Amino acid sequence: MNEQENIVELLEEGISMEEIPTLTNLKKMKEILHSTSMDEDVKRKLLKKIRKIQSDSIKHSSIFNKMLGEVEKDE
Amino acid sequence: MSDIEEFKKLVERQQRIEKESVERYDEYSKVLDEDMQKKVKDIIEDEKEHVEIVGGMLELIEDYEGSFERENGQKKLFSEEDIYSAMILVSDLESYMYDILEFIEGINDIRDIKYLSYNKIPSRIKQELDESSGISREDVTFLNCSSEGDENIDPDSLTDISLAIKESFEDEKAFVLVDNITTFTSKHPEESIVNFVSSLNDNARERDKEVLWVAVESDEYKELVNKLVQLCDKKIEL
Repeated sequence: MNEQENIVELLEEGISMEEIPTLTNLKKMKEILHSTSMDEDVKRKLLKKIRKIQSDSIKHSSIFNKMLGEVEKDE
Repeated sequence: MSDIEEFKKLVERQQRIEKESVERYDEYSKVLDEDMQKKVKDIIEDEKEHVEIVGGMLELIEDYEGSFERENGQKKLFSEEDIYSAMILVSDLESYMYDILEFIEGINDIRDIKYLSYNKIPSRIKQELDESSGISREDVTFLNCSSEGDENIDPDSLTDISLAIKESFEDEKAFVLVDNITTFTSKHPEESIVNFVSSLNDNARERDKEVLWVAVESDEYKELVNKLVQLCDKKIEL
């Protein structure tokens, strides 16, 4: 595998890491919290933390996608 | 397993994912140029912060002594009446992979899924199937346009992708899922994507086969997604 292909594979892995396990697991947590009878104050604190990670992960996925686009444009 | 234990397991899994991200992204700096290295370093700092945040979530759960009961949601199962030749699932980036897994779980008993991955590596999708869905990686066949592995479909060639999908239609119970059509915009003009979807939808209808286009909605692709919805027989709501 040449250097360019190696970079493409790493960036695709980055997109996959952010969009597959990270965002899916966070969504599952959110779904459980939305349908639970948990104390509202604790629920709010947990949801705030989940939203922060979700928002960062969406940003990370976008950064990896842009970098992938740049690398492929140079090919 | 109680509901709170199930939730705690997801939080613990999140902690493992965040730690793995730090380790993997650290490796990237060895091959990326200076500008990209800086971007990845910023991402690593975020991931380290996430490890702390998830640690705080675990503390909150461990200290929590109140009630934690969940209404049992029924998973949607698909029947023959729900399946059309040309279908589209529109979701947002935050939820689309979760929706795909829900869909596969709902249809897996009656169809053989052929999963076309455009820019994500199949090994991660397989891992997710094993770890967080009710089905096994063995139940899904991958058509891979990413750079992982040896047998790849060229993502630059809509003709090659179309041929691979049409070949998959040969299997009697095949159901082709395309993840995701909006990422095709990184390499193809919108007009070509619309023609590609339209042509494959016609092929699926003629041969009594089925395809699901997954589309991630955003302001940027709103017009494209609207056009694609018009070309399909059914928009899936999960």
